[in-house]
Amino acid sequence: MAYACAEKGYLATTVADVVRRAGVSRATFYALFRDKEDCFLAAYDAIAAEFIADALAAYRRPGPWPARVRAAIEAMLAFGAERPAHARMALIEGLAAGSGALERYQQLVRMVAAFADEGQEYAARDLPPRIGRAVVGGGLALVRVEIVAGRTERLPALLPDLLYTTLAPYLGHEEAMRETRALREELAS
Amino acid sequence: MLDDPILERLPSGRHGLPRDVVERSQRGRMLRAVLAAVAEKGYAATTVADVIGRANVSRPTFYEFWPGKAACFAEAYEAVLALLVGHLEARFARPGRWEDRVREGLRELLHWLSEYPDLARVAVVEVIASGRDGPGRYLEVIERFSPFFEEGRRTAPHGDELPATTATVVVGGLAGIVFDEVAAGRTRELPRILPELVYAALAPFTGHEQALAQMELARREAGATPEG
Repeated sequence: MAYACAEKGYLATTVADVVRRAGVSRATFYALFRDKEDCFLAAYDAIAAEFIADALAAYRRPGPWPARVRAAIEAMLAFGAERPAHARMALIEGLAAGSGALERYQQLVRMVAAFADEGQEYAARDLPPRIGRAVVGGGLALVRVEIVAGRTERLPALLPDLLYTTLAPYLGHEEAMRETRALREELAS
Repeated sequence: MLDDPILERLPSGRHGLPRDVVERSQRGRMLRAVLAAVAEKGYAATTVADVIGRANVSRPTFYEFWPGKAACFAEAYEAVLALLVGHLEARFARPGRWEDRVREGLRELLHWLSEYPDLARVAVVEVIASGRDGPGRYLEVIERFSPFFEEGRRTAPHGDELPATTATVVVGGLAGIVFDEVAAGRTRELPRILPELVYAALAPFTGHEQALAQMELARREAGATPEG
């Protein structure tokens, strides 16, 4: 499903495309799924669960918050680079596949925004609401540029910019820049 | 073209108009119809039948203008985006401090979107899913709005240190917040989130304190007007 969508887009993908790629019969498909949308949503749930599990595993490691943020962003970018069809499905096709998919996409965004908003605990000041949502929206714009251009293999190169973007609202420019410079030096060596 | 648009409702089935005027009005009706249909049903579910039904024109008339739904939508969408960006450019070109112009520009944007919920739904939520060209259209929106914010780098205390992607990130963040509101059907209430948007737009450039001051200003101005 994910591969057919990545190639043709959700709208143009048919059940015939899916069964041909999966090497199963039409009957098998309909024994498992009601229709194309049902199959798409099942695939979406599986991909989103793995994505979140990867990011959480990186984020929940012990260590200072900026290091954990960096590890989580790194894990998310690696996921996209290694699984371009899945990244496209989660972040682009998910918006073309009806209200069930839209709801799932938004849930995914909310979860990542909630990670980012843990930064509120480390912020030296009270921040207005929805900063986490802005952080995720900003990061998504950069990620989508690469996905749409077919350059998913370059996603990991976004790490320094995304780290700065995620840390700066909470820790301020100076500290976010210090972390980002340290990261750039580490990557260069 | 949608002309000035969007909302002007030409009466259907009127006689005695020159042929090119009738054609223009039919075209305008179909362009408005495709936007309304996509806003209501989503791009995927919208058909040529929806467009001609709403516009009250015949199927052959539709195909005189476009080969199919995608081309009709592309034209309508381009017209809306040009209108919106043109509107903001005009607002932004007025003299004044960058921070004030950002606040005013965002106010204008939210007001415009709240006035036209159908267009907001299309431009903010449906756009990325609007067929094969959808993702490219989404990126174009981000790109068209970025220059308004790029200007902030010049007055920012650490402008030369900010990543090259900062303006893109800011626009993506604002788009994300607006997306949630529109997707949840709160388009009419969009002007209420102006203070938060102002903060999110300015903070990366001006820093926290100044962004907070502009946010308070936006809040006070909203409180001062009954419809705010």
